[in-house]
Amino acid sequence: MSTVQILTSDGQTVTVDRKVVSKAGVIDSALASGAEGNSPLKLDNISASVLEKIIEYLKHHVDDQPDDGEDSDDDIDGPRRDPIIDTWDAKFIEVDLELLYELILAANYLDIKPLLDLGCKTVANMIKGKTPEEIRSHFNIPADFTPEEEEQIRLENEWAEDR
Amino acid sequence: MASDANSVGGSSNASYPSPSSPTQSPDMATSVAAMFANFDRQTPQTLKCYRHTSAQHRAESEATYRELSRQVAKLPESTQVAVERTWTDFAGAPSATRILILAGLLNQCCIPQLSFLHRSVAPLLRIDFIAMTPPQVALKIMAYLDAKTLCRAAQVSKTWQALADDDRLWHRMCEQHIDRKCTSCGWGLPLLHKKKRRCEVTDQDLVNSGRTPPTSFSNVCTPTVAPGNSVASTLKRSATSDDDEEVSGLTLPGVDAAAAHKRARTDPEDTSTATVPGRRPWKQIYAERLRVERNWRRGNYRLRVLEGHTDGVLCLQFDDQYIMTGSYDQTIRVWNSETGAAIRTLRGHSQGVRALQFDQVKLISGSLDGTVRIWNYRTGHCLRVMEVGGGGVNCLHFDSTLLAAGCVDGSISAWNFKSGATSHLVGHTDWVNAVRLLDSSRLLSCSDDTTVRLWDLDTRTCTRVFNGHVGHVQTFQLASHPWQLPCTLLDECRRSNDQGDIDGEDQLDHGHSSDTDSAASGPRTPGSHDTAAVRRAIRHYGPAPPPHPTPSSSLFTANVFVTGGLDSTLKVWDLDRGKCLDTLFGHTEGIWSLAMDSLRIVSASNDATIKVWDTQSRRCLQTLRGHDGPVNCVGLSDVKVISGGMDHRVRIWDFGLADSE
Repeated sequence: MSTVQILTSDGQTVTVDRKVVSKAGVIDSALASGAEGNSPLKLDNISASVLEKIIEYLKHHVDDQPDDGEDSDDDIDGPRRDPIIDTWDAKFIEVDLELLYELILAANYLDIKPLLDLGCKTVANMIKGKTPEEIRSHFNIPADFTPEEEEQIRLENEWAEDR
Repeated sequence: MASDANSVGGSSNASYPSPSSPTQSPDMATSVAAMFANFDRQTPQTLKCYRHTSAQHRAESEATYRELSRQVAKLPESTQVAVERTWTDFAGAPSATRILILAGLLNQCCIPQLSFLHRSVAPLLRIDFIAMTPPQVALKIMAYLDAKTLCRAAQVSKTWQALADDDRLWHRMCEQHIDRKCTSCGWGLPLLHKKKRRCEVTDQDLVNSGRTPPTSFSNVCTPTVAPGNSVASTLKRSATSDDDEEVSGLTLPGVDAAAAHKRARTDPEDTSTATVPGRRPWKQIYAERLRVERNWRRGNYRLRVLEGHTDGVLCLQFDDQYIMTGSYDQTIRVWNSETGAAIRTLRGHSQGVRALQFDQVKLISGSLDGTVRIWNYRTGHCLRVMEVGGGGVNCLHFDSTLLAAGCVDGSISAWNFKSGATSHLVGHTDWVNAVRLLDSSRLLSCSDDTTVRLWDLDTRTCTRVFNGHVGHVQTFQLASHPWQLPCTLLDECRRSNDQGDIDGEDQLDHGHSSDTDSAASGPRTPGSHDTAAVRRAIRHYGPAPPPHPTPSSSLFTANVFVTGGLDSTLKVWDLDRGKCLDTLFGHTEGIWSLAMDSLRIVSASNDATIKVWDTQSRRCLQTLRGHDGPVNCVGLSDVKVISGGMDHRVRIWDFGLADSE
């Protein structure tokens, strides 16, 4: 079984199964271009703890069929996808906000689309069902509208409230 | 506060002047600066630290530090120095060392301190995902939100607002909901096709879809030249001057839309979130339609009653300009669709007017007196009288080349305007109640003999009989586009076929094996009471795949039509398979008329009510009561139901209220 060595941002070298790690688009292209040689692959943005979590994810999904290619890179134009999360994934993504944040950034950077989707869905689910005030409090966001702007925006969006 | 800080600073350590911020303790200024200087020197990994790359958190952190220093300043001087040093040492330590320091501190903590940590850490770990992720990721998160949540998200902060109002998100929201049922939330929104064309907003709103290739949705929204337009143009010269305006008004938007499309296609890389000037944001379009749909769901309508007929109203059709009604009183009345004002009364038939259909320039009516009359409804002149006989004309339908009429004696006649050829279709054994041309060679009809028949106009033979109603079949409507239905329906009807074998499929042995294929090529001919629905039909039929990819294998796609009968039921039929797929119960007496679009079916009954049904669930959503007696005819648009009753009255149920300012 061929393996790959990865040097993380915090200076650790991690050895992983090549088949697992090539599920990440960026790593796959790097490996395909023969960039690794004998030196470990350097990932400046990924810490060892995040990488470990990512490998856990990739291992579980190693035999998944890739997307049928019908969705383009740009999800926004495709049909809105099913926001339902599979049980294992739900358990996997039950992490603190910081790790969730790191995972999303890493999935985006490494081009692991299903993990990026999972992270985005998870954040979306946190947003759902909350009032603007609750959203602010949940994500620690300061309100930067003036009272007048706030009222104006509230009126603009009132139609969506099912009253 | 400022003076307090000053005095503290002055008393504690006057040897560190801080010219840049005289109101602030020099200690604090240097410590904070040192702290952030340290962050800035950290490794790339630490630099990425969420808390210290965010301007907001940096400001918060500085504020907190100031407050803490204020408290420290109250301590004895030696303690102050010790605390400051601990902080500075920690700030200067690399990540791994910090962890060690913390672990050591944790180890020393008593329960109250741990409890303090527990309370303090959670809020600090909150992350503004929308502001702190790259825009494409933030937009992806937003893309998983529903309309209501997006609207709430827009109220959170300026950054959130910019993303939650993104035109691409709302364009897709519109694509998923307008003129179709959303597969995840079950809501569908009306097209508001007619209305839009009249306001300054044009259909290009729906076509100018930026970067997406034309979908069936865009096609639907592209204004098309009216069905029967070739007839329209030949008759144009004989019509009054406002016809020109009418026809050009109808054609030009299509041209514009095509041009708009071309523009949109040439600029596929435009990813700006800005709204194109002069074009309404998709969010606004969505909002407008949602308001109308809510009115439908809640039964919020404004009622207007048109009085004038002196006997039962038998048939009607309307568009955004005109309502035309035919009555037992032998007249046809033309009304202003907007104001309800009577425009003119067409007299000429010598018995009840059972059927009518109009397009942009002409009206054709059929009467129990055995004639079909062609009118210029703008002048009120009868242009032509056709003697049909058949014991009376009970129904008719025309398209650009053909006119078909069904008669009391069970016969159906069809005329080709261009070739002059006529055909007679014989097979029904009782009154023919509705006819419809599906394309140049196929016609569907229903009759008091309880059957629905599909005919081949070229061979003049009946190619399929749809059996299932146990009463007179009074009316039917074709779906504007293929429906997705649960396979269980198909299984059920297969079972019933195995038992009864009464289904029409077995009567298909007339050498029309290609029938199923040709069904897919669809009607280029429209007609019926709802021109908007007709245009959709033209767009939607045809070999194109269904609008949505089938999300699950438990659904199948079918070209369907819905019938209403005096057995009080509505039935949904598969046109190509010849099977009854579903039966809708609810009316307590026979059904005289029905109309439908992609979202709903409305049925008018002898029980004096009109029922509004959901096309997807096929459940009754509303029952409209008001007619004093049987309701004979009904029409449907995106915002209105119009009905005519035996009580001589025409009722307009307008659900577009909230939309009109």
